Amino acid sequence: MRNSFHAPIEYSRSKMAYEYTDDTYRFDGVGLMEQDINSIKNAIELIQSIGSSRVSGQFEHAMEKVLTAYREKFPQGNFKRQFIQTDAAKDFRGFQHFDLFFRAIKDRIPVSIVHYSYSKHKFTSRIIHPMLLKEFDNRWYIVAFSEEHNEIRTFGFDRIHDPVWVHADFRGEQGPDAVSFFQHIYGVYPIENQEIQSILIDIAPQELAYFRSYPIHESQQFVMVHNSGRARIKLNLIPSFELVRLLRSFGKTIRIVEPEWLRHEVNENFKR
Amino acid sequence: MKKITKSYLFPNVPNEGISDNPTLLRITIAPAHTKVDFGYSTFNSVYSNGGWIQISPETYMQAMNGTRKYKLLNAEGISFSPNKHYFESLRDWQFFSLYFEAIPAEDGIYEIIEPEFMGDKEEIMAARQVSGENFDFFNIHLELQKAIQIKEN
Repeated sequence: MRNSFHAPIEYSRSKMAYEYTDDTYRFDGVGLMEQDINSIKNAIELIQSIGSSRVSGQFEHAMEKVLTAYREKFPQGNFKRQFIQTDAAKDFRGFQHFDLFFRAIKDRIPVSIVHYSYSKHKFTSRIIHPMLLKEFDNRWYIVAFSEEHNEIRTFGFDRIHDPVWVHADFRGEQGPDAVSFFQHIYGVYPIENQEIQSILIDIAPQELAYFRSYPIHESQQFVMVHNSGRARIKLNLIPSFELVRLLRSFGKTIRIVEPEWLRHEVNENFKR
Repeated sequence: MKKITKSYLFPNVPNEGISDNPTLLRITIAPAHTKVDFGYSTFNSVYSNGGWIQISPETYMQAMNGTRKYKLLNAEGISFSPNKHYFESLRDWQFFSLYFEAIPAEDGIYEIIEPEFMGDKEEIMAARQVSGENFDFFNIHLELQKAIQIKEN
């Protein structure tokens, strides 16, 4: 210890044991094998490639320190050559609130927000109790108990203005937990008054491989596959606006068999 | 007058105006200022591309039964006249805040007046009805019981 880590230790005859002579000494070293170091190096290079700004400004700042230290220690690292490209959007509206909401969830702090509804073209002032930060389709959302709605709601970062922490009893633990809330939803905005339901979709042969390799939802099952490649899948979830948008994106290569209301909704494509 | 050392937020403030655009959203009473948050949507604007907004630096806050005018100190998200904040379309919006001198931390009824149209309350209301939009706000009810203390970062 004394030689390897320069630790200020002396043998105490009275205690018949070694003890630190400097009470403020801290032993920061961690014994790592070469394999461990290589794993950490890979992880750091992976974070560099994916982009730490995807998480939060504060995390990006912290990672920049780690990366700087890493570059000094291992100048031969793969930093100039990009070998992963993600489609994370940069500088989108509201992302600066990430750290505030992260801490609100962690420390159970209610937040006053001003929200702008794109569909209603209306501003409202709300008190929310943040429960979960959710990323979907490169957009960030805060899932929270909304006092005004008296239920869990999802708010897009881009629609939130001037969030402020407030001193109030935290009500984010009322009702279902946020993770369970999303278990039966594709996307973030469930369609109002819709329950979990079966959705049958016929898909054209050219889409079969896509649905096989990228299931829409964990509930997705193939109920029928023809020799031609034509198939029918079944989903069991709460329909959402994002699901309708996704189904519309397939155009005529899919057909909603049931429920009828969803078939009508998807076919109403672009009429609004 | 009661002096405060902390900031208090009124998340919903009953008030009267000719229209709800802009909307008075929140009021924060802080030791050094009073912050009033507004939202403006161009959705119903009569102007092409949504028009523009501005605020007179002479705008003030005043208790309905008082004489002291609390001056406008600063504005965020809106330009002081004669400058203008221009919108891009009829689907645009703007959140903005006005900072006034600190009002007392006690129950009260206030008004916020932008003295673009000089005259009494009825004249101002009539002028605003012509333009279809409103900035002056009356009967702003502040009840301390409904305020929430802001938690500092």
